[in-house]
Amino acid sequence: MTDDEYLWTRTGVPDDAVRELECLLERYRYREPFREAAAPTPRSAESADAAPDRESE
Amino acid sequence: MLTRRRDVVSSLEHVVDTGALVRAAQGGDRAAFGELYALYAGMVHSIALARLGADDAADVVQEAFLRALRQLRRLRDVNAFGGWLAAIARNVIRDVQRLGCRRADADVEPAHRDTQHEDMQARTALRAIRALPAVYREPLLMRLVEGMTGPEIAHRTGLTPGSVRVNLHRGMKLLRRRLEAAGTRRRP
Repeated sequence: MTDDEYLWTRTGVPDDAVRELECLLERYRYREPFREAAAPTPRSAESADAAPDRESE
Repeated sequence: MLTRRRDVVSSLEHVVDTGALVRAAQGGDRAAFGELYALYAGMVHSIALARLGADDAADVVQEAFLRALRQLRRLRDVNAFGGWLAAIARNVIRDVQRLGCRRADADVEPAHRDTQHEDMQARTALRAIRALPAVYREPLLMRLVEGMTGPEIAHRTGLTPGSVRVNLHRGMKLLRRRLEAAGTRRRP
């Protein structure tokens, strides 16, 4: 395996291609806060959500 | 051997007691749920961005966390939170795809003139990542878009550091080759 330390840990000598892609793609980074106003509290949520989604079955 | 030991050490450095946060959130601690959101939103976003446009991917994050919050008390293995949340995210994505209610892909809309060239390069790179085999897409987006390290990706997803490292390495190699072949990146 080649030296991929920068790709793995973001430390050490930056790999040019990785660094270039990081700079380009950073604009897509997710920065939104959780829209808490729409969210029930965990305790009340359980009783309010009678129909389970597939992943919890 | 040394590489494996480094993987273990690196992953330990990034361990957050997710189980404790999940237990607290299950007990109604909204701040704990907020910490889980801060830790895992990038992972969920990468999973969505691997399949959907940027606007839809952002909506998927919100919907996945809302569903997670509603179902959190049913999660028995608190240390499996990452995989459980990823499964919820994939269900949300399937719902979006099935309902055919996807919005125009904001990341292919015309960009501001000042950054038009870079935006075009970014869109090309994002498309190239989306065209990679599924196993490489998500870790590469977590690394290159969300800025997560390999050990953080392993910890969040529940995958082994070794498999994440291999997928990052192979995915990056393939991506580099394709971008060079497309003429968007010069050969070193």
